[in-house]
Amino acid sequence: MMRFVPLFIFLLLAVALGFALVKPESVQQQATPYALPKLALRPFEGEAKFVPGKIMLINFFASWCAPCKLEHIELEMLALNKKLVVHGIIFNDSDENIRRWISDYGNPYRGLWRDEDGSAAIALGVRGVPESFVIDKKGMVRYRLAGPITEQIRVKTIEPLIRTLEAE
Amino acid sequence: MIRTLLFCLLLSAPAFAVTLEAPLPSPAQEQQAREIFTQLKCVVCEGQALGESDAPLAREMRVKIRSMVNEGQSEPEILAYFAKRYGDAILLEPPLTFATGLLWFAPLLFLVIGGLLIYRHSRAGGNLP
Repeated sequence: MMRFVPLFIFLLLAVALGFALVKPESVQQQATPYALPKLALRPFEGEAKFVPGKIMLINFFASWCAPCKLEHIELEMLALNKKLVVHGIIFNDSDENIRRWISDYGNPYRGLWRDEDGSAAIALGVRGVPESFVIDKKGMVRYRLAGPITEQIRVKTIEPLIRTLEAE
Repeated sequence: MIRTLLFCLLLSAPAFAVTLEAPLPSPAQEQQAREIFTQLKCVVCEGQALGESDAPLAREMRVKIRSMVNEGQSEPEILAYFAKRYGDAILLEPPLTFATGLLWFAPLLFLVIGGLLIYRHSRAGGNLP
């Protein structure tokens, strides 16, 4: 029986490490609400303020980011929702590339911002793009998504959340 | 002459990888900042310490750390700031908690189990392969 112990340990490690290797495409968190930190951003285009009392979706993106292209259509769908204001924060990209991006794909953002020194990304714990946050009417972060917004995430998670936050 | 120049060019190649960042004016503060760099992981490049990574976000984090050191924030405060935003996984030495206990003690545990197995095997009179 003891001779099977090393095999058992190996299988246990293989399963544990296997789970760690298979990362989901997107990582969602509906963590304990926390206040949106003050973000040092430079307005790039559009509405140059976060309007208090409105539900917001803040989306970090870049033109060089392939998953950002995939989620763009979902952001456009979300932007049609009158109960939601979508803001975009440019992550490590040039003005020229962003202008070309907007021209090619459209602009779902009410406000578009530059995070000049990365301080906004760091303040929110952003690791890369795309990453999105839903903020309620009181300025509390209620949902965080690391990875692209898929149709399933939009329909099954974000839109129901917006309805819930609107009713609060 | 050309060979000498080519040789010098070869020696200078690693310099292209260096990202120039403005150090803090105070050497003591710059040293403190660099020590903090060695305690955080790069969140973009797996397996790299923050001080070694050339990812843009890593550079921005180093600038942020220097700014916090310049403001007089302590090392524990700065590490806590990043751990709060990125989780304890950003720390190269995660704190000892219930959740990280396995991480800390697993190598010792495997050593003990392995030692016990070898001991039992030798007591049973078997030969190691």
